[in-house]
Amino acid sequence: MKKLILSIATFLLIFLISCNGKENVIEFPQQTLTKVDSFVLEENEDVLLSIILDCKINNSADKVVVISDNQLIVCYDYNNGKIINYNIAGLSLSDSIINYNRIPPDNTYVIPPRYCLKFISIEECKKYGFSDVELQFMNNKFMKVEYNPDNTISSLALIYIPTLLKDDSRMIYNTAAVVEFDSSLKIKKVVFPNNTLFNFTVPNTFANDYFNKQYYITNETPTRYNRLKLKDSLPVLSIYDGKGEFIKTALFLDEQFIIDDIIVNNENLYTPSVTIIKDKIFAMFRFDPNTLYDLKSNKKIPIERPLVDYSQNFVDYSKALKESKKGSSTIELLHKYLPMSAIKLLNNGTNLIVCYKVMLKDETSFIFREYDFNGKLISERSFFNKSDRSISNLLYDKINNYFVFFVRGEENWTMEKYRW
Amino acid sequence: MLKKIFIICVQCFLVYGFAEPKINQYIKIEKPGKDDLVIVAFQYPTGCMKCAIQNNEIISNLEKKFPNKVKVIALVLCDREVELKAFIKKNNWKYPAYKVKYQELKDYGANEKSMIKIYNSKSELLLDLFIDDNETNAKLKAFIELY
Repeated sequence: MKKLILSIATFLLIFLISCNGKENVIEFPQQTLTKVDSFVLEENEDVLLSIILDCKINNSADKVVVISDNQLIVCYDYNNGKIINYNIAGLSLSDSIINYNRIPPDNTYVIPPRYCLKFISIEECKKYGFSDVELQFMNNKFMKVEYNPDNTISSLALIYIPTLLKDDSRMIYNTAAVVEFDSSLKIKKVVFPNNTLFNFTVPNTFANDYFNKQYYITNETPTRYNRLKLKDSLPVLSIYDGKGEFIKTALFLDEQFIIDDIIVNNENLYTPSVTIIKDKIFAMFRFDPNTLYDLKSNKKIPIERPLVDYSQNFVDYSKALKESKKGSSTIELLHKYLPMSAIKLLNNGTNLIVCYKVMLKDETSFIFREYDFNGKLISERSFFNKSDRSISNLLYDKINNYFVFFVRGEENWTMEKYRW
Repeated sequence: MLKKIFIICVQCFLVYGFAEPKINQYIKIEKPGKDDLVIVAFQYPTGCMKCAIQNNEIISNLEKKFPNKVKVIALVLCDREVELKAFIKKNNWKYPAYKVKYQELKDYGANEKSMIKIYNSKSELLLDLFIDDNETNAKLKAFIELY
């Protein structure tokens, strides 16, 4: 009996302590989005969606293109959810570098250093002793997508390429590359950025500045930080021309992220989201939800009426990461210390729309805020994901002023349209 | 009122204190022998290939070291049956595989970093391996030597 009473007392104490924990107060706007329509996305044996990594709508709002994590890019009819066409990131993407006159950059930071000789084709792999397991590793996939003004499609892909080293050994090199499609998803060309040890591209963020023939692609930041111990001028996003040649860095890492554990442990924390509107390109860091970056004029714009103050949270999060046990969940810590994130930066053709995801008590909700180019708050909406459904991605339909959610259910994927 | 709170507390204690870990139901299905090992492999069909290959290599090594003593179960992180079937087909997976949603991982004492858990026939956890842990090989080597 004593044991039982002691157990109950302990349980009550834990309960009281957890109730007393620090609450993150985030004020939700009163106006919510209104559901308009919903369609099941067609799937079949060849087209089975896993996680929707990115999605875009065309200018006439009759087609959407989605990227699924299992190597697929699929074009759907926006008005009924039927498949129009699709493509798969096959091994032929790896071979497309062979005639591209690119040399893999040496990596002098690893032990032993890797001095690269050349890229080889998939057909040559067996000759040079690549095993089946190594070939299996080359799981090319599309990661980001853009609908261009002429209805062609550009995607940023992760591509693996078999590579020979000067000491006769071999490795699998990976890079971001731009895949240009026509409007029926046939590949027109693949553009490989000119990677160097310091400006190495990773397929996390992508914008296609169509009229200036320039690509904005994320750079791998931790290497530069770890190896050179640089604490400023850490590139996160760079501009490449239509042939993949480096032009300049468009966005450097903000000082507030330059904390050891954050840089090393979680690149997503400072991966920017970008949107192209008129002749401007704006960016926002996921966990700096109060600042917009105008990349063309190199301006940092604080937003009006911020929803959270994260000034101390990065330090606290960093401390918690340091103290966390090996193998423990970093996502749980992230939700605890940084419960709100700017998951996507979109636009409605006139203003910017920031999509905030709020994680409180295991529930996901959204706040959408419309800002002008000076960061002035124009309007805002809430979306309460009451049954905690799995919303994998979203886009904004400028023609109808709809938010479109891609929701994964027990059986099907649905495309749900909500009026602003 | 106090009586009600007391009864609720006792019920909560009974539910949480004596509930069987969720993984046991799958281990029991395998009917492991006294000295058998049960490997629970967390498979992320859309995750990195390196992790998937590493999982397969660990399973294959343990099967070689402990012939006929190893049972393997995959917990495949996905929401739909159709994705589980696609995983089995694509990877030519020959062991039992069950669907687990991300939110359910904690019911198995796991999180997004879990890679492999090794249990004995009594469902006692012997080894817990994580993704991106540079001590994985050392842990595995020590386990094989000591077991």
